[in-house]
Amino acid sequence: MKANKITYRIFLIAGFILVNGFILFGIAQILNYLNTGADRASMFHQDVTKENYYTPKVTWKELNNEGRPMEQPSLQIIEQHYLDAWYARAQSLRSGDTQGIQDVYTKNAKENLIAIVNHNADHKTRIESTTLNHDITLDFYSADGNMVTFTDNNVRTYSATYVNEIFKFDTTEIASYKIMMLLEDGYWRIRHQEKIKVGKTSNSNTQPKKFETVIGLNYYPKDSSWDTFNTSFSSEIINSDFQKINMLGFKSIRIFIGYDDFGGANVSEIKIKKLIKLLDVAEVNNLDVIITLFDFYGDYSVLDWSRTQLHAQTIVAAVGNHKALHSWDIKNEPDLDFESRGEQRVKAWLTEMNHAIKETDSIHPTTVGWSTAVAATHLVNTVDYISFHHYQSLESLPEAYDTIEAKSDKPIVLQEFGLSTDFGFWNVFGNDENDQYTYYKKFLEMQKKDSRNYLFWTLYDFENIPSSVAGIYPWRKNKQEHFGLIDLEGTPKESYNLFKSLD
Amino acid sequence: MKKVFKHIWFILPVIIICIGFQSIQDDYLISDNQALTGVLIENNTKYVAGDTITLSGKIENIKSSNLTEVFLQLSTSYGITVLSVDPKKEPIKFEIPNFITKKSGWIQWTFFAHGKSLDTGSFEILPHTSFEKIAETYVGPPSIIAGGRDFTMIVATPTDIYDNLLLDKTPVTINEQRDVNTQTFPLVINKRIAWKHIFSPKKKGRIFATALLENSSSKEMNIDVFANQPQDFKISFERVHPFADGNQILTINTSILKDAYNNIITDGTLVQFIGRDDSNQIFRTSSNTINGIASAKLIFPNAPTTLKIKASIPGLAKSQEIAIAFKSILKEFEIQFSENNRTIEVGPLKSYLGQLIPDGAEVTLSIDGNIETQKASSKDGFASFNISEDFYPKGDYVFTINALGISKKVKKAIN
Repeated sequence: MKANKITYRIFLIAGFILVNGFILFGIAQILNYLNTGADRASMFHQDVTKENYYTPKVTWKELNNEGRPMEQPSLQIIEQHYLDAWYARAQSLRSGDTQGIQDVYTKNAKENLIAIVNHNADHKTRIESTTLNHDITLDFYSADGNMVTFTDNNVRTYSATYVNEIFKFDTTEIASYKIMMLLEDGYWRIRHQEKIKVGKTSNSNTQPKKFETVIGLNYYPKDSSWDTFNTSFSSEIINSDFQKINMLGFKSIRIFIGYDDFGGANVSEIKIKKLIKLLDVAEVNNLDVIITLFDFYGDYSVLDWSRTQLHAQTIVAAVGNHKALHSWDIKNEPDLDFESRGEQRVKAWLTEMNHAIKETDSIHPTTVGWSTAVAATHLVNTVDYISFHHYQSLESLPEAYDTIEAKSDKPIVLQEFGLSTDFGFWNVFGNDENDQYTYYKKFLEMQKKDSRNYLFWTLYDFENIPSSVAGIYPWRKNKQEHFGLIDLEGTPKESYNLFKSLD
Repeated sequence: MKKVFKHIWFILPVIIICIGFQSIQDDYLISDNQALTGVLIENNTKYVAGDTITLSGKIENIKSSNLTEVFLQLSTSYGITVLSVDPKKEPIKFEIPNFITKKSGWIQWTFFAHGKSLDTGSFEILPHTSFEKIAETYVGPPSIIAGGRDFTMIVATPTDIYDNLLLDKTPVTINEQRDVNTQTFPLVINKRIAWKHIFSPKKKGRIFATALLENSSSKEMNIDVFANQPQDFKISFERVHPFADGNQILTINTSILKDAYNNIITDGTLVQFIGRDDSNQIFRTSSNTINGIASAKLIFPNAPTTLKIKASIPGLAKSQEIAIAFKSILKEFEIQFSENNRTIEVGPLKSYLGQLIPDGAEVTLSIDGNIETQKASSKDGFASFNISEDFYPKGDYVFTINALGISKKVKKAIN
């Protein structure tokens, strides 16, 4: 009886402690939950980092005016708010929602835009548009700094029209605008916007310098595949690789610049320095470099174009006059994005980027690295030379050339081809080193007759293939690993000696 | 009837095949839009805002019955829009909607059929000039300083009834009213605006301005002209009597503060007053001007002294220094010792008329050989001190008593 009592007591007390424990735990959890969320310091709005969402090229040509000297900080604010207005306008035309334009147009001016947006919405029409260039001349800045008028010359606007969500057509137009903005409660808003002149779109018909023959390979350092400019970038490794390439008798290489790797619209200076270093080393080793831009870029949405333009123009301006530069390849295999992003949009983007590159560097030729000869017949009038990739049999190569030559007589570069020595567990029907030797031997025989421009894939076998390149399946990765002339252990394959013996 | 149905089985396949061929032919024509050509007939390249604008076009190399999609893209000052028409109706006519035709500026158009751009062009819409116009006008800054060097700016951005900026070279008149003088300035619009500097007059007050167009005017614009920087000024004082009783109030007034153009400076300007007495003690006070005058008040000193006072508006203007002498109010006072001479009573303290001085006059006692000075305030003409046994043992002391600038020394033995 007594033992029973003690047991009850133990249970009661233990139960009491447990219940209290749970209650305390519960309260702690609630308090914990209430303490989550935004950092309290955020209410002070300190150091708000601004995302560059809209970066067309803006140049202020003339700041002298009769009203008031323009202050640099005011100019920056005016420019930002003016670009915001274009961005908000593009957003409204794209979405049919007029919310954003309240902040960037004055009460009277916004009615004009709202009428257009509503008309489009009524007709199930959407316009995807962006501006890429603003050459601004300041006309007048009032004495109290509350009003500004300027002329925005040669605004380059791309627009694509969708009716019932189906792409109908696109245009690129040039026009000049007279703009009047007022400073209202700290925001510059557009009061008047008037198209005062229309121009003709010039299709960058600059004359690039003579096309230099291309004989070489696609290059990644052995341990930095698809990531040339990472933290382990070393000019010694690059130098020894380039010496090797030079000794094999090649004079050209093709390298890749990742869009995000180089910082997107805010191009990283460190990466630019590495790129210049690579070009310097190439120059020492007598190698011409074809730079492929926009690797791993896949957005293409029209409102992102100004960012990609800034990216391209920053890089082109930084290395455009380097002696080792051969040409600009705008993007690698963009035709693979046709299905998911729309052929029309991808092609329009390539055309605009071609224009943007040529605007900054009119000397070096441009091309697009199409994945097949059929795809390479796109934009033949836009690029300076035509590039295509060919991983099919060498027998079908002449046919590929015929496809392109039927459309254009511009120089052609066989930009990627090669054979993987992937025979093994993942591919029992794969090719071995002998097959690769025969493949290249055959190619070189054809070359004796045809003297084509070519870049094969590639110098090294790679250990790490990013999933974004070859997907997640091991047999695909395995194939991608073994395209090199030199295997993972650093031993030259037979084809290496084939090229070596040529020289 | 039955016979007809019987025959239909022979005719039906023929009809189906015919329809099939027809649609195949349609598809063929639509997909092969390379052959498609068309033009848009522009009647005009210049219109006036509010005009009815119709563009008519024709498309060749296709039967109109095969046309399904005909668009006109319009890129205007404010945005891009698309017009579509029923392609079956000939001729093809695009009516430009009113919200586009009423805005001035160039319009670029592209004529599309089946995704192919057939023709492009542009036309210009000019602002409407014959109707009433609106003279939108801005003035800034809204206040300036008298004297002719400071200025404000009036900017007129006149528009037509559709809110379009008027063309360059349109005349605008700016009228200005200062005091009783009205002046008229004829201007012309340049780069879509007309503007003028308005320099300040010498006299403070208000300028009225307006911008006039042929048949309309802006609202009234007011520009306040405030006085310029104050010039150096004078100060004077007022007091009820010259005795240092520590009780009355001394008032110091500035002269009327004016700028170089004789304008009374703006009310509320802060004037600082700094005074110094014979022992170099500093007094400070400040006051805001009303109608150009600032007046500061100081309490009378409680010992005869001479106050030297000057005033300034920091960084801008200053006054001369004035000296104000105060006389003592006491000639003599008496001291009584009691309770073994440990209680000292001072008084009665009598003022210049023989009256008891107002309460609160300061009396001090210092005892020879001690640093400490004891203080007491007068009440009903008397002040008293207690000499504590704890600090002052029996013996002879010299007491110095000071009241309102009069000092007395007494030697006494305390028990």
